[in-house]
Amino acid sequence: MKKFLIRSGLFLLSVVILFVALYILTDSHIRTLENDFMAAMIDKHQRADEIGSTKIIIAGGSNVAFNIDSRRIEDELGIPVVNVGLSVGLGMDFIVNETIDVAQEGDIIVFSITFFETIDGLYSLKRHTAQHYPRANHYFTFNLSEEFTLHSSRLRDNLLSIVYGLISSAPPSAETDDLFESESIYTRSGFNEYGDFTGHHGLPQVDELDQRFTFEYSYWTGIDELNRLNREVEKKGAQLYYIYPAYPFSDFERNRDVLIRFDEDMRKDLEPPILGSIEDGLYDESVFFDTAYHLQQEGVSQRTEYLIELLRSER
Amino acid sequence: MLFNSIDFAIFLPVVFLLYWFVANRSLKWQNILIIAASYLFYGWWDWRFLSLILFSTVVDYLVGIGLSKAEDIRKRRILLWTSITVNLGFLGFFKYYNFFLENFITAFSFFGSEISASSLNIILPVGISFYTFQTLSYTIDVYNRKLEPTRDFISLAAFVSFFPQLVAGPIERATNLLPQFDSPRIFSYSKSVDGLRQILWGLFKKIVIADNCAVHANYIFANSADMDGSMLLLGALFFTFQIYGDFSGYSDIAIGTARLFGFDLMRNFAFPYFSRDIAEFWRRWHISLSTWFRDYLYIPIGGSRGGTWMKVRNTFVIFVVSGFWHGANWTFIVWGALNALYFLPLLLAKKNRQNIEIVAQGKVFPTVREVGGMMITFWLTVLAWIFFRAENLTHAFSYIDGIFSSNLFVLPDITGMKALLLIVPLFLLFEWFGREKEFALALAEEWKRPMRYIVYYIIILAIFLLTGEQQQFIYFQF
Repeated sequence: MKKFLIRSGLFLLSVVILFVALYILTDSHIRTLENDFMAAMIDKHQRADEIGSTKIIIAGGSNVAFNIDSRRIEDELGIPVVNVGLSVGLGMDFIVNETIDVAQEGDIIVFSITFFETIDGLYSLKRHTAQHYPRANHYFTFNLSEEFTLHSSRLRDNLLSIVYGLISSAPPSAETDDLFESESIYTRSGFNEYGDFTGHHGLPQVDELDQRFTFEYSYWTGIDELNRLNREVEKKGAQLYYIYPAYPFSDFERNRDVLIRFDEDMRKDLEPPILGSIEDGLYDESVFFDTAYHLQQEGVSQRTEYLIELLRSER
Repeated sequence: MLFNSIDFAIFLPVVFLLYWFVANRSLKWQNILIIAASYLFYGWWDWRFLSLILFSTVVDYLVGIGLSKAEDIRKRRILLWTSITVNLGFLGFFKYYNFFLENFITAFSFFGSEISASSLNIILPVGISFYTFQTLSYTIDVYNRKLEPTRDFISLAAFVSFFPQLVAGPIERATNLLPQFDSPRIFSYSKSVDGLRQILWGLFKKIVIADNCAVHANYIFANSADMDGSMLLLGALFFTFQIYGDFSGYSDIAIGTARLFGFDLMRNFAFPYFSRDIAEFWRRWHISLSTWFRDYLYIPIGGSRGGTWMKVRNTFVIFVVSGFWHGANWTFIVWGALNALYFLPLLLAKKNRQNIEIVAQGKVFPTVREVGGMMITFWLTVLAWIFFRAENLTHAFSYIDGIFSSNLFVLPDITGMKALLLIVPLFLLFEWFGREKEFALALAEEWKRPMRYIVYYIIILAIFLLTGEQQQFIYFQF
């Protein structure tokens, strides 16, 4: 028995060593894309740091990255603006922690997120983002089991990339994320200096809009996260506002009952003030770009104008 | 709990260590641990059905005790039929109730009568066909006085629920497995190493071969109406290797796992795709089920005794029942009947036992005649698997019709299949060289250590790299 346990233990150990060695060897073959969409967090935070206190922070998912013209807000209101919105795949928890980190005394934060968004988000995307911007490691909790899955699939992808590269005599491909392939418009260079995504401006609407979900009602625990954000930024002397996301009329009609209940919960339990109404965020389907939350340039203009009005009335 | 899951990767070493280091004080404690582990293993899917296993065990235990006391043949028969009724009753209700109901309604409507009856939403308990047959083997063997009934309920409960083979076999005979629960367990180094090797090979067959073939087979069968004949043929081939990798892989893991606990389970697969005729195929495919039907159905109804008509009838009975055992669908019945048709010429020509030993024993290459036999048998099997895999008979016939369309000779689009089309022949080649062993990787025993370990590492890497979408074991649904 002793011999069996020692030998099988040693064999297992040798397998682990083999995998770790392969991981180290293959990972060095992989280039990280500097133009990766998530790397835009570096630029956004650099701008926020440069401005310092008393600024407008536009925070949330890609819905705010795509839908706001920060330059116009800055010009109209005379307050510097930074748009830190990047991807909702990061999860509410991550985005809230990031916003707390960026907020300073005197800041005005306008937060908006897609309906019924998850709290946890995608662990792989969080780690991916933290690779570009190490400070992001503080925005989520380390998870051993997720780490194991993540590194296993990374080793698998790296090895397969090398094997296929050898077969086809092509060099190993650069690391790309499933969500943001290098050929797509989803790149770091698609953002302007304010942190707004403008890479889609001038492009026609895609054939079929994505994320056109039919919702089922359940109480959204994101409200607790937003209240947490509110308490934390209040401590720092900043003011938080919530605004509903831009959304197509047709999708709202399909989900009307659920979204009305959602709105009732928000009005009842959300601590920070809500700017405008849920209906004010509705637009014709024709002004959206690729998802039910991403506006085209024309929609961005309408949306920004509306936000400026709301912020003016709050002042 | 699936064998190819993280849950099982944690479960197995924990149970193994508890078994040999904590429960090793007595046989009883080891058997109790096996029962607890087995019930946990099964309950991982659905704990509610544990009551069925427990009930069957209690009934068979009491029937066994009753048989040990009863000398009167009438009383013995009543006891036997009590066990058969209870066990097959559960199986019939959970597996066949809706099938019979729907077919009765269809039959009556054919004669102009309308019957209104609604089918029930019945969940099929995982592995019910397997453990039912295993418990029945106990009662029948006790009835036939081939086995002394056990008075130790713990042993019987461990025999019925033994987790390595509980949900998909091999369907063990009480005469082989039950006495092992009454014998002291002595740890064997070589047996355990061999067990690990067999587990590794089983995982390779399941994860690399079966799960990857399944992706293409599922797609092609689901979209068969839009596929060329050549693609349909490829789909049938993928399913042929999927079902072999899936089921023989499961059996390898089961047998290997049992070895770690000091048990010897019966062999379930013996390189069936190298069979030279269909009779040989059935001696090499799902051996535990084939021999179960032979011993408990074919021989009791007359076997090969009697005239030609009796032989033909008995052959059809065993194949059709075997098909029906797989599932409540006419496709399985036709699959069974088709195999009976394949078997019949051999039976009538008294050539059904001409290929007993493995092909080309002691040689590297087979003869031309052997190659011919293997090819014919293989393609007949591929054809039969179409019925096994199809959704219904209409689907099966349209699939076969599609294969023989004018597009059979069009080059299929093999984008995304290239790696698999390379791996499957390599796998077959490895199986060919290991065909004289119990399982192909047992070849490694004869190799020098460096070579052996290189092959182990390659297999582990292949499993790691080629893990596809995790698929349920096909035979779980039976």
